[in-house]
Amino acid sequence: MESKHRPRSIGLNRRGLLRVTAVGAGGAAFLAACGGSGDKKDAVKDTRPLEQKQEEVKSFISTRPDTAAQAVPGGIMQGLTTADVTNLDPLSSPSFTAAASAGAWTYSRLFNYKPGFRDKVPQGDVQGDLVERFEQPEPTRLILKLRQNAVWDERAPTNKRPVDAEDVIFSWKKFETSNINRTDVANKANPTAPIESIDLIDKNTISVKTAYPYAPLLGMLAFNRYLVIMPRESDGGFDPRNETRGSGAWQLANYQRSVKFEYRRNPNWFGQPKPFADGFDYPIIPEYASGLAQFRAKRVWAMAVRAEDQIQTKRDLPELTVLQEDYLRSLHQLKFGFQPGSPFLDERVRKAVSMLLDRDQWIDTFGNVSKFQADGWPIQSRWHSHISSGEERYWTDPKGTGLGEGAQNFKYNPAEAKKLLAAAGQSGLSTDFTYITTGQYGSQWSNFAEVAKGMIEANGDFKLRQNNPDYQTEYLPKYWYIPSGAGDFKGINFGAYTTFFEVDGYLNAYYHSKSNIQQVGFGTQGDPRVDNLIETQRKELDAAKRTTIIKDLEKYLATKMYTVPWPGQTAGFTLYWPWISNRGTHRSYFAETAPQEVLQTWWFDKSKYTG
Amino acid sequence: MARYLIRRLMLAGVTLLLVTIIVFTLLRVVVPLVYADAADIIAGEYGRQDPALIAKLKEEYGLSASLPRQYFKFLNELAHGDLGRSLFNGRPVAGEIKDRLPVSIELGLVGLLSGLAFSVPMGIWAALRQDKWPDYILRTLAILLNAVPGFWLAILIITFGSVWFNWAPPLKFAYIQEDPIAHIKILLLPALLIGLTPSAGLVRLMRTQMLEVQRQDYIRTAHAKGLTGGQVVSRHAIRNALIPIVTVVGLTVPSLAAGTAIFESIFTLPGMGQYLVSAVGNLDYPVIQSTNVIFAVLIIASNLAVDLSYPLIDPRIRY
Repeated sequence: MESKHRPRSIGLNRRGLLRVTAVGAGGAAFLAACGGSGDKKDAVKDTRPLEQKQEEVKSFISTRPDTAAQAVPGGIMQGLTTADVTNLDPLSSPSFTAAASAGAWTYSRLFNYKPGFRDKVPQGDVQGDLVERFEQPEPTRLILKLRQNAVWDERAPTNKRPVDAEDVIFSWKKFETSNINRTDVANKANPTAPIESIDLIDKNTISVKTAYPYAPLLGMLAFNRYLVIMPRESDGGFDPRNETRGSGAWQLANYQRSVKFEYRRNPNWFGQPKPFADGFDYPIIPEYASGLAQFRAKRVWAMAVRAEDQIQTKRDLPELTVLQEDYLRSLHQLKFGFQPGSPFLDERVRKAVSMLLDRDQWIDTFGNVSKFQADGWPIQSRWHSHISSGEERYWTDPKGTGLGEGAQNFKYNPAEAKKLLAAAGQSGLSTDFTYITTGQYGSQWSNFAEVAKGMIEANGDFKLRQNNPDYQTEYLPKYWYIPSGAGDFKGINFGAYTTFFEVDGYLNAYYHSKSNIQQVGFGTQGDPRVDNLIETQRKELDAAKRTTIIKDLEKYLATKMYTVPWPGQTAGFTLYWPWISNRGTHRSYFAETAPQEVLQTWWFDKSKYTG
Repeated sequence: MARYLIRRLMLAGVTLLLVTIIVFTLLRVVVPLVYADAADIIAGEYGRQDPALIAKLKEEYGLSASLPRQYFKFLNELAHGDLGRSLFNGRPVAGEIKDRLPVSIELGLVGLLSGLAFSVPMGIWAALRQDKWPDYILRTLAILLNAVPGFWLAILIITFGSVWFNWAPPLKFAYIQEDPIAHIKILLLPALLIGLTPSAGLVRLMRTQMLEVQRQDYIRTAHAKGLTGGQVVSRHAIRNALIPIVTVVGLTVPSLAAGTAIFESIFTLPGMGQYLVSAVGNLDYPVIQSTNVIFAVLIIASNLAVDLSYPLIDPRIRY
């Protein structure tokens, strides 16, 4: 698939020269305004049979080969990130960004997530990180033995000191008093949270005591936004807000605020001989066009090229490799205000909202499905139920029969929606439609919200007033965290999802009446059946039985529509330069936790490098 | 001249004091009234607006004292060269500014000089060829440049540069002392683009001034005493036409300082603009207050430099 037509250098090629001559600056501006270039016309003219295109696509979709045996150590991988962090302390920063960036790279955790390998999609199983072995003498107690070959950063003040149990206790105490997510985990901060205490047994052994048998406990201990293990020296010995001294696979060698992160391999990591690469550079490039330009110029080796740009980018740069990604496990929701007298207290109104969403149209619009299909790319898509379609273990396809009678609420059915609204006496319902426009959820968030709003209004049964509150001072306290549990806002909130380590975290936070953050709220009383199913599943240690309970809850939620799940998603594609070897071979459960579970297996294949 | 300089420096001190009062009042009194304060922002991240948490945060970040007391503390620290520490990451603001300010100054200065290097000769040329094709072309170009925002042009250049030639501007910033060539490579394009927009106005101004000056009696006299056209322009016309240009250049400095932020973002440059923008988003008081004072110093200094340059351009002006 190596093309002879690929522009080989940064200098002018013939086609480019002709274009410059012919078009000129004004034409360029016009083309930019129209969002296209001549290449897109070429794409339209591609009249080859679909089978031929599919054969071609097969040749460049990665088969996820395992090349670890040929790995040559060395090389600095070149990536990019679009956002900076508030500070680098994963345990005390008010923002998740610290845990999602430097924290995930440099600090170890007790466990981490076992990656999928080649065709095997990761399911959230865990493996020891700092923990070498563990036992569970009783359902509410874990004994964890730490590995003895883990050491802290060789730089002062940790000076390559071995990681010990006191570091774990120190981190736990810091976590349960100051971490933003402590109410998910620490029983002291929230009586419904599972972990009562973490105690020292000896220098290398700790015990974890839970308030009740908690099924996904190991997964909780593997989550980078919860308990990362920091050295005791971070309390005064160095400033963890600006520096890291971890025991993980990478060290943060250089961080320049709003400019770049530079990670380098930790030569003392217990997972030697990995990492294979010497490091990763991440300049902060918030502007998409700049990032794409750097990617095309081979200065950045991989980036999240938008779905609408992928076909053309691949066509322009045939040597790029394409990886089909897994479905994401996130699930945004349309949430309802449940103030007294709210029309959304009537489930017929909620169901009508769901029926007005044309899920296939949505997925096609934002996933570029038709264009991928027309070009022979093996694009796949799924509808979400009340469990994300990326949750392979628990998701039930709303298009199938598994959801029972609730499945009909997912089908696009404006006529039935009209009937439901009429029966509820809510035809022509006028209410608020709230979403943020300030970029915290990505540059496309407003587009998503506007399309959803348009779909709900299209039938003429809703008149939605756009409401765009300030994110920090109004949206977060009033629409995102709902301490009263009452859905204390008016209308529909087009809300985002935060990352949860496991389906339990999500179900509890969103649907349990006692959850003290992030729940959508459906009346101060909640729904006893929902509460019961959530509590039962989290205490059920038999995996098969637990799955059955979760699926029962999923079916029940489909009939109630306390929230309307985001329509669906595609298993999208990632484009990267072929000299990143082993990319995709190991599949991460979380993109955030990949640095120490997957990225240490990537290596720089200099023989393919043409940058 | 010395007395004038002393007077201006004293006035500069007063101006700076006023700047600190205005910035502090806007930031600490007006913004919390109409929007929020830093503690609200941090509490919002935690998902809570409860008074106890906000009081705790205020105590922790030194925001619980009375506003006059906080202002005088800020002033006292400023007088001792201490610009404070970021509320969000505890980094000393002075350290950040030390690294970033030279980048922004260089960016702005090179932009300004390149703009002048383009606009002054082009303005003169347009005036000397009044109502001929070079004049028409330059006037049209000036209007076009005035109408096109520099950052948009930057994105166009990057987008089409990458689509057509697989070209992108250098990604890794190098300080001049580390690698002068790489430094020039990364700064040149954004600096030229920064200079482009003000240069459009300057071309038109220079042209107008030259046309004005050329109609003066002393120019006619110069011609009458047998000087060549070039001698008349270089010895008499340009210097007299330059005074408004220098004034406008002085007034351009603040917009250049403000305008670098978006270029720093597009070209990933570690300058002051990006630093200030991210601080404003978080209401990081020490950073905002200190960077505003630094910008004020720069603007006052550039205006002083402009005023002091008048006698050099026109000997009739004396202080």
